[in-house]
Amino acid sequence: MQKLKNLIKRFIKKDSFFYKVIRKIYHILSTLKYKIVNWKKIKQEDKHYSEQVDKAVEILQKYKGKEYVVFYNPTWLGVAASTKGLFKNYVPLEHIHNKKDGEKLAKAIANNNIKSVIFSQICDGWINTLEQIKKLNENIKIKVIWHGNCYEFFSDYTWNLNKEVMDLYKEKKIDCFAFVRSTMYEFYKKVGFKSFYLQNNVHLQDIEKIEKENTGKRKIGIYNADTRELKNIYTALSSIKLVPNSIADVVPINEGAKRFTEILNLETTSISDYIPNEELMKRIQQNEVNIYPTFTENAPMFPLESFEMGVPCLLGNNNDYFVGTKLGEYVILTREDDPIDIKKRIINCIEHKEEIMNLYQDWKKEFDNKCEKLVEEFVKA
Amino acid sequence: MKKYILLYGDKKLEDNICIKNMFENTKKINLGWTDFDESSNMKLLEDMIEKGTKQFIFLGLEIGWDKLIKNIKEKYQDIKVKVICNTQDSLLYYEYERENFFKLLQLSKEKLIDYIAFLKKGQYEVYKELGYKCSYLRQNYILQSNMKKDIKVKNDIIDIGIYPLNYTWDKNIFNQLCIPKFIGNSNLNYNVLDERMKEFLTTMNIKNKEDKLEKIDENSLIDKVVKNDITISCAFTEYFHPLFFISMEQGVPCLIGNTSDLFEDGEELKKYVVTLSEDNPIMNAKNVMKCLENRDKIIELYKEWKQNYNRLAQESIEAFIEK
Repeated sequence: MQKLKNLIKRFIKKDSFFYKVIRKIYHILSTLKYKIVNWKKIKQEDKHYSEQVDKAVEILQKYKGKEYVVFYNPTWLGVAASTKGLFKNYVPLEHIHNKKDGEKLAKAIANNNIKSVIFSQICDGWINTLEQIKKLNENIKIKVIWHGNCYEFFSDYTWNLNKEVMDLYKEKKIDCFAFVRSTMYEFYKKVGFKSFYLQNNVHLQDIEKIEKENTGKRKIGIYNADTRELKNIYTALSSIKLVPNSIADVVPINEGAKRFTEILNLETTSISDYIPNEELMKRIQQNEVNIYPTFTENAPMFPLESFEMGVPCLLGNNNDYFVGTKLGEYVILTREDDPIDIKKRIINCIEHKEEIMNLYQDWKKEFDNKCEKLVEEFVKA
Repeated sequence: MKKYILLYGDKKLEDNICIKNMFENTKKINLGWTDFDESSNMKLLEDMIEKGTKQFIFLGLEIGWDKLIKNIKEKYQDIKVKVICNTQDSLLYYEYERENFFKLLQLSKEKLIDYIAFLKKGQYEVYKELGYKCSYLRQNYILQSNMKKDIKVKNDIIDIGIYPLNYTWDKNIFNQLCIPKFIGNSNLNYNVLDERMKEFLTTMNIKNKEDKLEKIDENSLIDKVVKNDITISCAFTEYFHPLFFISMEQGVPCLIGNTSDLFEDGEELKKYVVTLSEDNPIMNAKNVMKCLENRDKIIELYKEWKQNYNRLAQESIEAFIEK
């Protein structure tokens, strides 16, 4: 199949009409094939989603008469952590594949006299639900937190979803948006949307603190970086290779990256599968430093989690954390695709670890206050 | 200087702009899709050997070129084979890039490739430490005097040119398209690579004019850049920067991402033409304005910098050929 694809790509221009037709037909046929082959699995999934709606309806009773509730998908780990880190009245909710489930949920919101409903990103079927809510009571405010940045419009799914929510705003079915990066907030405000600014935050006081083992090696961590090109895992590995006496801890590590570490002759303690976040938080406490040199972000959770666990984290110059501070000078990378620069920054970070962690503690106090105020403004809007 | 031919393919057209400018003796060869492609490539190379070629320099290790190299080395042990690596760590996420890169390293270990040149200092440092025979090759592009064109005469509208050469993730297209929204009285001229780019600009109400590049080559790019007051090429990651060179050589400032080894830290020109945050349209709109306000100074700084850079680049090319 791959050979056939390559052959087609060789002879047909990517922007030609013919290519687009072939792509569309291919897409339709593969969707159909998936549905036929996986009908049992799909049926089970639908059942699972319906059960999640029932659970959400139950939780909503707890928030009767409240100013707001916020829905988030618990399986989207970053969004889930971010939502729970910011709001109190949160309700886990997965995709809604059945229209009746959406109606059930909308009724529960109206019946519980909830004043505004916040959707932390939009999953399948949520658009229908928000339309149902407005149908039942147009005074209930609908707000959407958009966690992506414009880079993501490269994806068909995200672009189409963005268009849909923009149309819903124009139809007054969505009252306002919140963005977790200032550039997105400013951009959408300029385009003409009622927009608010939020920042992701983490509170991890409950995670057990682990005593760091002294192995005589510099353990450097790379996490949650195997799924997308943007995570820049290969440059991160090269930079660790350049740090003397280093070990890389990569979780999860994919086959390509594993082979790369072999070629680099880089010692690792990596594992192939995802591990629960709590376990990961304990694991990273063994590290000297973590690195997260991604190319684009909004308000990434991992760097904050790392700092909360007492481990500095280098991060790309692509979010609003630490900007304009001394802490930022230590930990914000401006050459994400340069292993030499990242290596120098790792060593500098290790040498100033104590100072960096003190700077972080001060920054975090102010940041917590700022986050609370931003949430308050958004909820009140 | 040993008689060489630089061989390039047609898979990464963008790379060919700088490379054809950097090396005098170049020849396009086929990608080894089929047995026919492979045998015609081999025949071509053998003809070159007969005419006195002593070394082949491949731009990248594209499909089937590993077999070609093995065949050459089997039959002609005295012929040197070198490869300019046209990928980098950030692109290894893709199987095609990764497999070819791993093959390149393997062939080097087996001594079927005599030397590798890296276009990124970081890569060079890593593989030098690992014991590979390699060097750092400075990318370059020098404008021929007869290719100089008249540039746009300044008027009330700020024309901004964004000409990504591929519709791929690394080009950071949509964050760049946002930049004109933060610049008053501007018009965006852009290379339409996908209908979504048009749709995005219309939806976000950004004033624009389609300016499709029909061909990815030097002449076509020159024709585009001279229509603008500034060009923007803030990709996330790059090893060649053809748009930067072409634009600056024509006297049109070009803002690029912090993705090159062109400048030393603290170099004054870098402060104007390199953004430290490729995905931040607000910061980049400010950078654009700073470039426009200091346009003459930037072009003067560029000329000064380029004189020295041309020398360094030429030295690195010559040293690579002589290895």
